[in-house]
Amino acid sequence: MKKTEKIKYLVFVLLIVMFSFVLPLLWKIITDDTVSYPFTYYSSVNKSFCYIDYSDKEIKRKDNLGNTYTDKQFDSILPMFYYRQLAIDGNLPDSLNGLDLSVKKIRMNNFFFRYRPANISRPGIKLYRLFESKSGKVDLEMPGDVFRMTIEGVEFINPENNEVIAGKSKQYSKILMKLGYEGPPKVVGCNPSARKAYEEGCFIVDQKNQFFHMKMVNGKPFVKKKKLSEDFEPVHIANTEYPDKRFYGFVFDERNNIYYISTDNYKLVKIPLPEFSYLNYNLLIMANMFYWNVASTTQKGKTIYAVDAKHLNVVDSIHYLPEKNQLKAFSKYIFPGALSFNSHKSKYLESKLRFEGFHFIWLNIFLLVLYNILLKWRKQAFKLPVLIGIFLTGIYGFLSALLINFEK
Amino acid sequence: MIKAFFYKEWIKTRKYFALVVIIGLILEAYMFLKLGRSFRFAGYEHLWDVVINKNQFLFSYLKYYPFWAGLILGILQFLPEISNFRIKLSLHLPLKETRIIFYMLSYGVISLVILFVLLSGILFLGASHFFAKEIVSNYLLTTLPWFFSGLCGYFLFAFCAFEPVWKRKLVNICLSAFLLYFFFITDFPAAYEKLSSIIILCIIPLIGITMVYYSIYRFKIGVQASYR
Repeated sequence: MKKTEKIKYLVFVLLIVMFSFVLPLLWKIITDDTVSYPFTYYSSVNKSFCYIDYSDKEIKRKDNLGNTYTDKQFDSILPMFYYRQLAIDGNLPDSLNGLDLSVKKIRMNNFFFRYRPANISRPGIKLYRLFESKSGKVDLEMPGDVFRMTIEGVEFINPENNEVIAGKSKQYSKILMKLGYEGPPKVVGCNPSARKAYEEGCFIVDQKNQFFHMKMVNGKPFVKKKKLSEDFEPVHIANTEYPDKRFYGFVFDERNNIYYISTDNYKLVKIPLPEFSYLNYNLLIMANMFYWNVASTTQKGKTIYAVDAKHLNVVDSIHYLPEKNQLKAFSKYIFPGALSFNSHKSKYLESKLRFEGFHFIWLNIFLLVLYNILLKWRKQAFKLPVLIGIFLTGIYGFLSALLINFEK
Repeated sequence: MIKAFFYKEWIKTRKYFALVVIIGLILEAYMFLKLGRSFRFAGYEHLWDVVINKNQFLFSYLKYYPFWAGLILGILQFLPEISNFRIKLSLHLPLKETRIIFYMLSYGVISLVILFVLLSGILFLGASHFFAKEIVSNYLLTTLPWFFSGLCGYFLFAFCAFEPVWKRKLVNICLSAFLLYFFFITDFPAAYEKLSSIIILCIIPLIGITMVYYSIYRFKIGVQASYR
């Protein structure tokens, strides 16, 4: 094969790559539609999922038992979600399921936790912040430094002059080393926001799978250690610092389990989630004092589990399938795979080839025959690599072959 | 002969390329002046916070500069060659055409690499003065695809410019736009830090060089429109 011919094949391949990116993208832009699921919340009153159905023009409020509700009735069966409205209307019950209710109590126990795969799959600057956890003030104050975790411990840096604060760094590192810390850490979980109820510091898992809780109390280091089991591989720690102080945050592990770090001696308590993958699923926990609504969402649908808040066992679940988009689904009959460089699941640039079966094979065969007819009409000889290219890549190969003349 | 080739390219590009270099230096000076202003207004700690936790990139003015620098150098070097088929004179010199093209491209690559190393060096030194090494490396990784786009813009301009047939030129432009798009897909800082992305960043300029040789070959043998 001549050099120029080789370059022609290189152009052919590049054009195939270009079409495999551009054509599916255009198809997506033309056919894409929003995927929405009904708002769903587990009722602590009638012990069933209640949802707002937007599918018809009229908004319908229903529950899984087949009842339909008015706006006001819906508020009253979901007092843990609409407690503020009920309180304004004077309809907030004094007690529910044997527990006293008040706006303050509900607010203390409610929390929303959101997780997306891109929370983990992203490039990040590994500098963290430690606020004073006992400042005695309502609002947290900026600490005036950031820190990095090193092999020997901690290094605090002053942003004003970009220099390491030797004294403070030594103080923290000394305690960590004394407790047997071995850096660099596998995972560090810190909440950099100053807009939180209180500060619980950072959680660090080191090379020896030791779990450290590090915070600043009255300007001095506070470090506690807990040994984790050898086979436990944490991938992400999300500090929560919720008002009820039941737990410090959530830990995601390599086996797609989620735990909360209990404030009771750092016990890891598993959250029941039968189907979850930290790389593919979005997660939303809407919790109240009775039930946690744990919703996991992928492109294949949304599943919501009602989890008993006290014992953390699943009491009910509901699954929604996404609405079928016929035009979008038709793409698998045209395109033999689609190339993409970015996705909502990751902030990294990653080349991915999506493949959805062999539905395109009939179009590929048709295009191959069509190309041969065109060659005969042009009185040109066929080239085997081009024919193989068209057979394998269908419309991409066909269009690319039309743009290049392999004869001259 | 090499000296003569380099001198020829130097004569063609020196004035305008000097302007491109000056614009680059002014751009960097402006970015650092603006950074200084932001430090004064928002404070060091706040700005560090914005960079670390809000994924803010403070040197985004630089984004398209390397691409334009590469493209302009390509235009300065190759447009005079293709007008009135002047490159045919060079290609008839007693040297292999691949070597002639190699000298021409080397001049451009060396000029661009010197410019980009200079700008990256200033960025590195300036950023290292204000920010921790984690931020500096994140920033250099963010600008890496942009500098690669400069080299690629240069090669791909030559690839499109030397193509003798207009229909094919359009195909080349589309292909070049697609290859260049790779460098600007995302604005997220250090999004190209995975090895697979860095490999693609390196492969695209190599493809660009190969394509230039192919276009010049077609130009030399005088491919006509009917041949596509």
